[in-house]
Amino acid sequence: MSLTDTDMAAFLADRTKRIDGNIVWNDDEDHSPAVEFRVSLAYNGRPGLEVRGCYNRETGTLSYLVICPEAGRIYALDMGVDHRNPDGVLVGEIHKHRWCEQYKIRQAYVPPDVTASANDPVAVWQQFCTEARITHTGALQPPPPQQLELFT
Amino acid sequence: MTLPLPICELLPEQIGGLYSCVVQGDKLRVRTPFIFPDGDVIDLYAVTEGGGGVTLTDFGTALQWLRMQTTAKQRAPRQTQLLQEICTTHGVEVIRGVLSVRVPDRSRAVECLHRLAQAMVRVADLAVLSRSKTLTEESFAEKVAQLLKHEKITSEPDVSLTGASGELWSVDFRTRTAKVSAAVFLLPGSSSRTVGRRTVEHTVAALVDLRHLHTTDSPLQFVSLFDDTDADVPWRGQDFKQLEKHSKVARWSSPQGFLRLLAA
Repeated sequence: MSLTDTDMAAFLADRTKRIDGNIVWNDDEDHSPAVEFRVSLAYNGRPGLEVRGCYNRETGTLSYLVICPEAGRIYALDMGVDHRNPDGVLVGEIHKHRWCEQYKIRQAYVPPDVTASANDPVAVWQQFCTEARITHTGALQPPPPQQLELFT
Repeated sequence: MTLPLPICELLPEQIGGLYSCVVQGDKLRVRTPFIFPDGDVIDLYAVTEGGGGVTLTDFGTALQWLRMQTTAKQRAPRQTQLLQEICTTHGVEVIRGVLSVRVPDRSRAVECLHRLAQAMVRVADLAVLSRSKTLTEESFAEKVAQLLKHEKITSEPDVSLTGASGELWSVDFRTRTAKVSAAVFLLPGSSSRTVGRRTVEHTVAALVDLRHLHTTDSPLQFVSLFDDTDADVPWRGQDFKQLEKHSKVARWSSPQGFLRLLAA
């Protein structure tokens, strides 16, 4: 089932999108410096959507994103990394990707509503959910303390 | 010959401006002109290690970016294999998901930086390939190969056998156990009934043309192995019956049954 701009607009406007339960950060499959989570997103318009988070203390980067099995990332907040749009313009270290038919996920913009710091993933999460119109019925736990140093 | 642009003169002037460096705690972040496929800029980091040496690293961002493009819970074996090849090609170390390059001396710092950056770009491109089902999901043949290896059954993949007609037929696996030598034909699951039928018909044609190998002094047992676990369109009774006339039939949902046919 391919995605369209109309689908994307409907997705963002829909206020019934929901994540249930608490969210806990876990090590990724490589046990890298980053921690991650993945949860199902309940959305009537399209099944199988997931929300994922990734926080890397070493690089100070934080990402929250919505993934569609057919189209990959369709909506994502990135903090701590710059982005170059297809027209060559650099957007800045806080930017949101929003899928569209023309550019797929390559077009990003500066979100006016994310004011929390990447060092406060819980506060950023709340702002992300608000703009994305996602209701989270539980709580996102803070990331665990960093484990072993990789370079000594 | 007059060149349209004195590129070699411009390179030293302009290339430095493509990079920027920022101190970030105990490390130096280098912003490069390279980007991931979605346009996110590639940063890498220089850290000083205990012995005074310098290492350039991505702190896991390349593989992190790759993971975030798909709902797959793990990297496919083929992606991991390609990852290793990429790192070998560019002289990059990968450990715990982190790509890094040790800088042997100042004169090679920028060369090391470019090797790491290129490796990061290539790792990210595994995501583009990963939208192809053949890369993200282990193929039926790979799963069978793993089972044969795990059971320590001597096997050889993709063997060509000559039929009575002179036609060359490709057999997915040739196996050998203490009592039995076998030729295994795989029938992978499919999302199309037409494709499934053609696979059955092709296998029947091969088995008929190769039947002389079944009656030699070193007879070859024919085994048709259906993947009945992963088909959008299930196999039908007549598919199994057609192949039962010419071979022993096994189903992937019952791997022990398959292994028994190879052994007895």
